[in-house]
Formats: sequence, structure tokens, C-alpha cells
Amino acid sequence: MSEERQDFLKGTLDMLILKIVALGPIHGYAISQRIQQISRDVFQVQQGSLYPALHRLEDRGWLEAEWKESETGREAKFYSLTKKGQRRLRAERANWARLTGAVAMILRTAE
Amino acid sequence: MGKFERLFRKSRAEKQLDAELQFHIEKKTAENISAGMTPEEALRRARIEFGAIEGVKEDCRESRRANIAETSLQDARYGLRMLRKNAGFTAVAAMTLALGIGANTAIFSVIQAVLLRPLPYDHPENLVQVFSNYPPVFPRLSISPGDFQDWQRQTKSLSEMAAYAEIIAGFNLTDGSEPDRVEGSYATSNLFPLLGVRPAAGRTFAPEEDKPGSAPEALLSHRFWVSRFGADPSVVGRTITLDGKGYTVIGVLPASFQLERRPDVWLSMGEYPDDLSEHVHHGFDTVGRLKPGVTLAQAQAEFVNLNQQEAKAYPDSHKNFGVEVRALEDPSAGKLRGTLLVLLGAVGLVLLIACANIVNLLLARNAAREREIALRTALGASPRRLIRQLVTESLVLSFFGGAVGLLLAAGGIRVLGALVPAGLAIVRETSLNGSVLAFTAVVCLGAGILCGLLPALQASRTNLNNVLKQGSKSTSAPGSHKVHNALVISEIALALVPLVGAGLLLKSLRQTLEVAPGFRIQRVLTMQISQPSISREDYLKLTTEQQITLGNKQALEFEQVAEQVRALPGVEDAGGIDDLPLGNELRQASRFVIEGQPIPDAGVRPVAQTRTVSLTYFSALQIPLVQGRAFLQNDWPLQNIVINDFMARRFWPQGDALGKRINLCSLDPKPCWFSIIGIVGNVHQFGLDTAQTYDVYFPGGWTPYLVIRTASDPLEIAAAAAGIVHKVMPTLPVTQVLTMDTLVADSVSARRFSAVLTGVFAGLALLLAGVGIYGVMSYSVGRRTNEIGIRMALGAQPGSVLGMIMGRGARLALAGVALGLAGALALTRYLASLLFGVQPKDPVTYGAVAALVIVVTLAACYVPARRAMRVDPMVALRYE
Repeated sequence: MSEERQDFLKGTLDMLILKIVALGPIHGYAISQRIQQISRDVFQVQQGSLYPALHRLEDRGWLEAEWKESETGREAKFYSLTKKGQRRLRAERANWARLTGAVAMILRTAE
Repeated sequence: MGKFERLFRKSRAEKQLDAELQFHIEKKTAENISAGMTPEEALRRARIEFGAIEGVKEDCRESRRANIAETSLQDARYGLRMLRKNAGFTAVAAMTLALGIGANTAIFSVIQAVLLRPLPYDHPENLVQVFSNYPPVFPRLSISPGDFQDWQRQTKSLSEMAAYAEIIAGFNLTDGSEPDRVEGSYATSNLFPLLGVRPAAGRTFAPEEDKPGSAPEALLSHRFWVSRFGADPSVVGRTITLDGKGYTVIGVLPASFQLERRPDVWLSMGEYPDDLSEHVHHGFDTVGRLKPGVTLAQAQAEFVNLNQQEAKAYPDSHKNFGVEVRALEDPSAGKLRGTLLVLLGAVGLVLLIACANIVNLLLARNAAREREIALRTALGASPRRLIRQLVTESLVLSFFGGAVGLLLAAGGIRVLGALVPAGLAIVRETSLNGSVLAFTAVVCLGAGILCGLLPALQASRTNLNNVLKQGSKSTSAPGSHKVHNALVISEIALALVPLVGAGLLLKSLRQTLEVAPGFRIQRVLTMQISQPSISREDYLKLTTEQQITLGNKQALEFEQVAEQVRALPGVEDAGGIDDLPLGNELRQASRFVIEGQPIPDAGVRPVAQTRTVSLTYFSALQIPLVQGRAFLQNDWPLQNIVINDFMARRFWPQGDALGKRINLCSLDPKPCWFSIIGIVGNVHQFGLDTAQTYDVYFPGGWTPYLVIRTASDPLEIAAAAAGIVHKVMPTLPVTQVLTMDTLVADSVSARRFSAVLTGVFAGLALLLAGVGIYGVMSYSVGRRTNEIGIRMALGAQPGSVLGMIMGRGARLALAGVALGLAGALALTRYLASLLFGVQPKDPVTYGAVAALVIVVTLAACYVPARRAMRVDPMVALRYE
């Protein structure tokens, strides 16, 4: 049971990361900040999930990483979206829309 | 970054991972400070929020696909460290596996050499041999020269067909300082090109040399070329003298040519001394090559048809004879296949027992490492990751065991080479080559996974909470009792099967040795002294008078030698025969018909083995005279014979054989009638384990085997006897000087070889199983120390504790024996062809083996049971 929920969240997290990285090169810390801001603190992203997710997406070839100087002058690992990642994001969005649509429909008909 | 680069530059990837996560924490700390926290508080909060950094790192590594190779290396390194730390465990486990893997490697290397290695000829896959057969007496026979000539011409399924004489001819080589005996065979000129054999020197035969009347030429075998001529290439073109006739050496065969291993020289078919067109004597072995696209079955069908045509043309000689086309194989392969497969089965079971022992050892060790494993789980290792790590450890162990096993196998192959009977010398061609190493690697991999998987699955199911809550005491994983019982039962069953096999083979060997050979074995010396042979053609040119004169002269010469040998001090008697008993070749036999009795069809006429003996052969070997008289000198020119008791009882059941006549040339146009003057005891002409034959003895002539009965060690008079031969017959070589004891031992050597080896492996299986059962029982008693302590505190007597453990051992032993007996009953029928005088379901062997296994199991349980009995309840409970 707990594993199912984790899977569901993991999928969602991947999509959110892809969406945020799509806006331009960004490092891990900023991604976690951005998710929190955009979702108005609804999502608290655990670093325990974020970094493994980043490494997984990089490994799949959806993200690419580059070490660059950050705003504070420290070297940081900046992620950006690859072509493959863009396709993946579109697919994820379509999936998401279908899923939420289906859930909404179930909720309406169940009333 | 490429995956491989990442694999090998792991430290850089690690540094980057550190830096990335460190950057995150620093940013968070900075943010916290700007929110008004003190630097210390800010760092602390940032770390808390981030969580367990090592867990995150592990997850990040896990996220990468290249991780598999990377962590495997890491696991292997970790495994090595663990093995080094537990040197005792490692030594026991690796030695156990080394025994199992070593035994398998040694036997597989023999199988590879004998059965699997492709024959060293061009396109060996479409080479075939054509055999005749006479079921069920002779499942495989050579074919007659006449059939060969016809079929070579008629066949459409074979592109070519070649032949060589199956019977090895002996020659006296008289070129050197001392005469020597060499063996030879005759081959058609196309045999060597058909096989793709290229001579090591010179050339092979030309087609015109297949016809009589061509210049006498000889090919040397590689072995003979090296041993007699020191591998001198200039021997080509020289002349060698065989039986007084000069042959030009035209070439040397390569070492790889082993179609027939015995001949020292090969002569062209034009030199073949007998009729090449007759259809009676089955003396030719054939090699053919299938035409492209023709299957073995199609060739078989064609030859069945061709054989039927021959049967129509020559009904007398072909009735009941069949034909078979088989893929060409090494002649030793057929002889060894059964034995080798039995041995492979035995060592396979040994390996399984070794694996069961390793499973138990790993279960015990993983249980002792429960806390370590629980800790790793708590730190974020997934069950899959844990299993992989534990299996990698057992793989490291099995490859280590395999390396030691290879050393054992190398030694074992040498021992095998020394043990192997001369007739199976192909076993000495065994080596640890690439395919054997590949086999060993696969066995190691299989054994490692087999051994590691079950304990790893068990360990990964460990309940985290229980372990961490408990103190230093480890708990029994649920179901481990069942696993241990299963281990004990399977070890017993696995050991029982090879023990039954070994028991049956050893009993067969004993039965064979208990067969009375029918002649004196102790203190008998034999030696071969051959006269140059006269070709059949030349012999037939002699008049009957001349033949008799020649026979008389040779017989007198032999009796002269025998008489002088008899006069030597320490010699009791001496005689001669043309072929020693216990031989394994079908040399001389004739179908016969009996005067005054109904005459059966040619194909079903009884066959008599014919032997020629000197006057004192029967007395020298103490073969008893049953009826009538032994030969006298005046029998030489007469058609008188002595037969054996078996033949007399079968054909003259009233005991009136004396004076009766038999025709031993019943297949020839001209009959030859012989009168029976005496009946002697039965002798095993073809080995102790073969059926009794009908034997006919002729008197006179030169008998090439001298047998000498002595008063003390027969080898002591060998030199003196050879000296007499050299004095009386200076041109004749004396060879094969052996005691009759040795000949008997040689005749059962193949049987001894398989029985002893199976026995050794079965013993190894029993030893490993005993050690394994002891290990399981000790371990489970150790784990139940608390329980036993409580029982004893509550009043259980030491005797009942002993009874409890032994009772469990006995139940497991019975279950294992039942399972093993069922397995043995199912498997030993494959042994049937190797057995003699004992049934595959011999109840005595099964009972004895079952009893032995039960005793060993109980003994293995007894030591831990004694320990359990002595458990001090106070000490045991104090640990709670």
C-alpha cells in the first residue's frame, strides 16, 4: 500500500522537475525552492526523493547536467532539459490530464 | 560521461555527488541565517531538513543504471573483505566447493577429450562408418572385403568410401641389432585423403597401390617413427624388413591420426595377404563421407537395401546379418561413454552435496550477521540490493573454490592417466583446455548462485524490528527449521545414489574376479615369440605334403624351446598357444556342423573358437583333462582336435563326444572334418565376465605364446627363458613378457577403473554429506540452546534431550534414505550395461548402502546431540 503511494508521488515529482527544468538551467536547491513556491507550500519536496529523482532523470537522458558558477560564485550542478526530456514532459502532461480528467469524471458520476 | 568511464572513475562521480548535496546544504544554511538563525542553528536545521545524507547518496547511486556493474564490483570487494575476515569459514567453504568443482572439472575434461572433441579430420560432421551386425550376439561387426568392394562401387549416398583391415597383423622387424615385433594394418589409398590426413613426411598411398602386385610400400605411424627412428625425416625412401620382406617407407602419418591407435606401420591394400573378394570374413572397417544434403537415415536406408542385394547373391554368408551406418567416432568413445556418463552423474551429485553444505554454512553465517544486515536495511539498502550483495559474496566464494578446484582437477587428471587401463589410453589425452575452463566457470557461476540465493532470500526477509530490539542474541528466522530439514534429507538422498552405483559396480568387479578362469593364474609367465607369417596365398601354393612338413618343422622347433625352458631350475612346466586366454579380440573362429546331426542354416550354425596348442599347453596351465587324451606328437599331421567341456555337453549331452567328427569349413566348398580325441576343462577365452565359448584346439605348428609355470616368482626366470629363445631361434623377437596375474588384472582393468572411480566419488559424497549433516545439526542444536535449557530446567532428562535430537536425526535419515532409494532405483538401470553378476536392483547392495547412510547420519547427529545433552540450564538461561 505504502509503495503504491510512493510510486504515484514519484511519477508526479518527475513531471514537476521536468516542468521546472524546462524553464532554464537550474540547480537542485533552486528546484526544491521553486516547487515549494509554485505549489504555494502544498508540496514539501524531500531531498531524499529529489536528488535520486534528478540522477534517475539524468541517467534516462531526459536531463543533462553541467557544472557552472552559481549566483553565489560557488560551483553548482545545473540541470537542463534535453530533446528527449521535452518529449517526455509532453507525454507526462498528456498523461496527467487524462488521469485528472478520469478522476474528476469518477468523482462527478459517483455523486 | 559514458557509463564505462563512470564505472572506472567512480571517485570523481562520488566527489561530484558529495559536492552537489553539500551545495544544497550550504544554500539552505545561508537561507536560514538570513532568516535570523545563528550559523550553528542554521546548519543543524539544514541538515535535519535534508535527512540521512548517506541514504540519499545510496539512492542516487541506485538511480543510475551503470550501478549494476559498479555495485557488483563493490560487492565483490566487500565479499572478498568478508571472506578474508572469516578465514576459517572461507577455508571450509572453499575447500568443500573445490572438491565438488575439481571432481566435475576432471571428469568433464575427460568427457571433452573422449566424447566432445571433434575428430581431427576434415569436416568430421559428415564422416560415417558402415558396420555389419548379427543381433543379438554381435551388435557391431566389421564388414567383409567383398561387401566393401561392392558397396564402394554401388553407394549413392556416400561420396566416397575407404577401408582398413580391422585385424592387426604382427610382423617381425629384423633390421636393427635385435629383432622386434611390430603391428600393422592395411588401408585403401583413399582413406587418408578422405579424412584429410596430411602426412608428417613423405606421401600416402597412390590408387594403383590398392591392387596386388604393386611395389611393397609402408607408412609409419607417428609414434613408431619417433620411438624407432628418432623422428628422422630421412627415413622416407629407406627400406624396412617385415617378416623377411622389404618395404619402402613412403611417408609418416601425423600424430593426430588416431583412427586406429595400435598399428606401427600401415601397408597398402595391394599387400593384403588374403582374398579381397570373399564375403565370409568380417575383417574390414570402413569410413565414408556423406554426400552434401544426404542424412544419416537416408544412408542407412540405402545400405539396408545394398545389404539385401548381397544377401540374395550370397545367402549362406549373409543370412541374419544386418547393416548399420553410424557417425564416425573415436573407437574409445563407445567403450568409455557409459562409464563416463556414470562418473559425470556421480560428480554432479557430489557438487550438489557440496552446494547443500555451502547453503547451510551461509545460512548460519548470515544469521550471525543478522544485525549487520538489519543495519544495512535500516540505512536504506533495498531487499534486492541485499540479495545481490549476498549472492555476489557466494559467487566470490565459488570462484575461489573453483580456482582451487582447478588445481585439484589438474592433479586428478594426472592420477586418472596413471589409473587408466592401457586400452583406454585416450584418457591420457585429457587436458585443462579452453572449453574445460569455460565449463568450470559456468559450474562456478551456477554453484555460486545456487548456494547464495536461498540464504540471501532468507536473510532479506529478516524482520528489522525483531533484530534491532533483541540484544546480541540472534533469532531463528521462521521456516529455517524446514530449510535445515530439507538440507539434511537432500544430502542423504544425494549421497545414497552414487553409493548404490559404486556398490553395484564394486560387487560386479568382485563377482568377475570370483569367476574361475579355468586355468592356472599364479606363478605363470607368458611371452610372445612370433614366427614371420606366411601369406595365405603362399601357403595355398604349397602341396599338402609341404604344408605338413612345414607344420611339423615349426612344431618341433617350438617343442625344442619348450623342453629347454622346462629344464631351467624353478620351472615346473612350459607350453604354447597361438592366442592367450582372456584376450579381447575375436581372432579365430569358425562355424561348424556335426557329422550325423541335423545341419542348420549357414547363418545360425554354432561358432567355435579355434586355438592351436603345443603338446604341453594343457598341463602347463593345469587345464584338466575331462575325457579322452591330450595331444601327442603323432597327432600333428592328423585331423585330430580337443574340445572344451562346454561344447561337449551342449552337442553331445550323452557324453559320447569322443571319436565324433565335426566339419570346421562348413562355409567353404570343401569340407574339413576333424575327430574329437579329448575333452578339457572350460577356459575363459575373452575375459572373466564374458559368456563361455565353444572351444576347439588343434595340435602342432609354431605357437607364438610361451606359457611357463614356475615354482617361485615367475619374473625371475624371464631373462633365462628369453636367453633360451635367442639361442634356439636367434631371429625371433621376444615381446610381451608378462605374468598371468598381470593379464588377469588387465582384463578387468576397465571394470576396476569405473568401479574404483565411482567408489572414490561416492565416498567423497558420503564424506561431504556427513560433514554437512553434522554442520546442520550442530548449528540447529546451538540455536536451540535456550529451548533445551528451558526443557531441562523444567525437568527433562539429558537422555530425553539426546533422544529428541537423535530421533530427529533418525526421522530425517529415513526420509532421506527413502528419497535416495527411489532415486537410485530410477537411475541405476542406466548402469545395467556395466554390471556383471548383479542386478541393477540388487537388494543386498541397496540394503547395505541404506544401512551405511543411516549409520553415518546418526553418527553425524550424535556429537551435537551429546553437546545438547550436556547443556547447563543455568548457563543457557542466563543469556536470556
